[in-house]
Amino acid sequence: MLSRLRRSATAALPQYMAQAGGSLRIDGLGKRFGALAALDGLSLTLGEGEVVSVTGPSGAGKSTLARLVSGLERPSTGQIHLNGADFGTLPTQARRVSHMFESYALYPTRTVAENVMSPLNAPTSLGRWTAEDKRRRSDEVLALTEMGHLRDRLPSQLSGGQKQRVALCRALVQDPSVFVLDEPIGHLDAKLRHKLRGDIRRRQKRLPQGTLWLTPDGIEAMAVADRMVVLVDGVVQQIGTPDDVFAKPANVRVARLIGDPAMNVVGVRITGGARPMLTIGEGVAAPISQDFFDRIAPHARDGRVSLGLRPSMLRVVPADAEPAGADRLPVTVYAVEPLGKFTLVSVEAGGERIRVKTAADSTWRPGQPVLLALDAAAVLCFDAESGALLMS
Amino acid sequence: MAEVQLRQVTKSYDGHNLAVHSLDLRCPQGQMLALLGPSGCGKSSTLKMVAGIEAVTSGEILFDGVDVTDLDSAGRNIAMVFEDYALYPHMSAFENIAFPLRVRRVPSAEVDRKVNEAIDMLGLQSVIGVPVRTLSGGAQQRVSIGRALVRDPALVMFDEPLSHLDADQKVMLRTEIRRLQTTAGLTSVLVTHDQTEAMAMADRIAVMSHGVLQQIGSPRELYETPSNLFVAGFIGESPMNFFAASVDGGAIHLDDAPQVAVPLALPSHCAHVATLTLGIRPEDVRLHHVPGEAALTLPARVTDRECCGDRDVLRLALGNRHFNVEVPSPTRVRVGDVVDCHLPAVRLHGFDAANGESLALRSRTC
Repeated sequence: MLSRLRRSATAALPQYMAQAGGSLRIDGLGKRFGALAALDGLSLTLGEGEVVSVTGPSGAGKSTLARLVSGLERPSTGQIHLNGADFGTLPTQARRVSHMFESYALYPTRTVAENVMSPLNAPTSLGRWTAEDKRRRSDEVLALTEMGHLRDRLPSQLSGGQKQRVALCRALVQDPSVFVLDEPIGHLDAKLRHKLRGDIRRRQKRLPQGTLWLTPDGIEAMAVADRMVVLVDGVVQQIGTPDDVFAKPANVRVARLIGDPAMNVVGVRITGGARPMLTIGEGVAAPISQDFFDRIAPHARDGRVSLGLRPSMLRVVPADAEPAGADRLPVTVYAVEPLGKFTLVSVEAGGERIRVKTAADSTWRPGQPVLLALDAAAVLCFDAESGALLMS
Repeated sequence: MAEVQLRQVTKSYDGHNLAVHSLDLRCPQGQMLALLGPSGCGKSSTLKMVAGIEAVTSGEILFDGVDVTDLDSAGRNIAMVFEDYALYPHMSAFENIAFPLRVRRVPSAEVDRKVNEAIDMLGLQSVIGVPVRTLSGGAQQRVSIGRALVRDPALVMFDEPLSHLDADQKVMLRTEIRRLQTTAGLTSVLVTHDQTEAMAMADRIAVMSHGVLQQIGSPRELYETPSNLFVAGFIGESPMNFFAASVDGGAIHLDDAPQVAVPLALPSHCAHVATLTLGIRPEDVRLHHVPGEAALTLPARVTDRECCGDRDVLRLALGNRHFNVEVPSPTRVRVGDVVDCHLPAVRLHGFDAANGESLALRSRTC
């Protein structure tokens, strides 16, 4: 049975095997599971040597997208083309997608090196690689991921992070139509994760294939990508360069995912008149400057608007500080987290929590009444109903 | 809540390899101590010994000065918060939290009072009657914390409590635990491989490697004055940059840039040190000169840039060596630019290349 399958796959090679590399175009790709739309009308191009990251919380549809591209799942709607040729109707093995699974899926009885080389021995690769090629290709990716010294171990003798690197190597070693990496470095320690995300990205940039890099980590998604896709509940929220997505998040769902820590999105009410006032959540009204009021008032709906406040653009000042140019809102310190590089102070007002990046040596205490100083020019406004970005 | 102390605690599973080596630790009452390190560092073995799940090979464990080394978990009155919550999925949040009290046959009026207190403290009012399997991971972990606290344990042990959560819930619960820790005065031990979590939540952190305690101190102490190369490299994201350096006639030079003098000198008791490693954190490197500041200045070429939101990580090449610099975003620097990097003397960390131990370098005018 196995030999027949192998023969048929090999025999079919010239007719419909996808090319190695090129540019991928996805149009209106969707997948429904019963009533649930796991992915809803995603359109995206992925050029040669381009790295596109896809980020979103769990359940966003990242892995569904990966499985649709590699042919493990049939789409409900949409098409995929590679270099203009139909790709989305090819059988899985003919697509030649290098798909790294989040769950590793290693062969438990094979060594690290054998696992890594296994795709080069697959029926669809028969005769393509010499023993020397296989050795050279696997050595390159094992060295890249600092796994060379473990090449003769079995998966059972590896830590979780090492297993993940084997799965990563097994994906990178191929010469596929496209790379699909599903959470490739999520289980590595911070130091290695930081190093590898750059090393892998630079390697992928030199290849003729595009790379789809899926990760729930918004910072990783920005750091590795030429362009990034933000996905929530199966729906594309935004596609753009990391700089653009960070500077102008399309809506509050994106704003809440991107950044370290992510942007604060706070519902407020404003009232104008001789003395403009602002109320955070269910809290008490506080006076604001005319300038601040004028900036946000055009975006308010019945006096309500959601403000986007970046943690790095806010300051915490003592409650008795002299009034100064900036707007200051009375808040209470909720928690203080010293992170070395900076200290993250969470403050509370009207039932809303707001995170502020402060100097590493800040000495605020929980429960302390303080003022939150903000720069009106750095505040973003989102529609109070739809959450869409209204100004930038 | 009790003060916890470990004295010369050693653990060996096979009789000759040491999983934990002569560990001395103290967690004062009302504080959180984090055990931090990579996999295989001995943190989980330590957790198990403190919890009474694993016997010590030698040494003793004291709660409030009383030797509990030979007591089992129940006798030590420990509460655990697990990585995967370990809740009863069909029970409500209320019943999960009430469970330890019910098995102790606490009168139901008191159960109600204590559980409601925990529910209030953890902000679980809106899900009080909901079966926990329908809750988000973050809410489930809060229920699990409530279950740990409700029985007034001597010590709460958090075993990788945030590992299974989505990024946003992780950040949220991290803040909640920190708040609870400081306001309720819990005595707790946190086991984690994630330095950010340890820094954010713990009062003090014990960094371990290969069963040996490397350093214990507050998050800022570890970050600002790491006692050896391991701690310096393990704590901090992006990680600290390291440069090999040599001492020649009292002057320190980088091996990659021998023509540039380093404005630092070895302390007199370290005169024997010939080779050292200099470290600097990516955010401490400046791309502009501050007048009057003693700094090591290196011309370097920008070879790559990572966007990290409100900051950019630049990859710079000094000859064939690469190092990282973190600058506020947006930056005008572009890939291909050659820039002067200023490494302020007060921000440089020195380590003896022979053993990795920190050297107290002194500023020196060049």
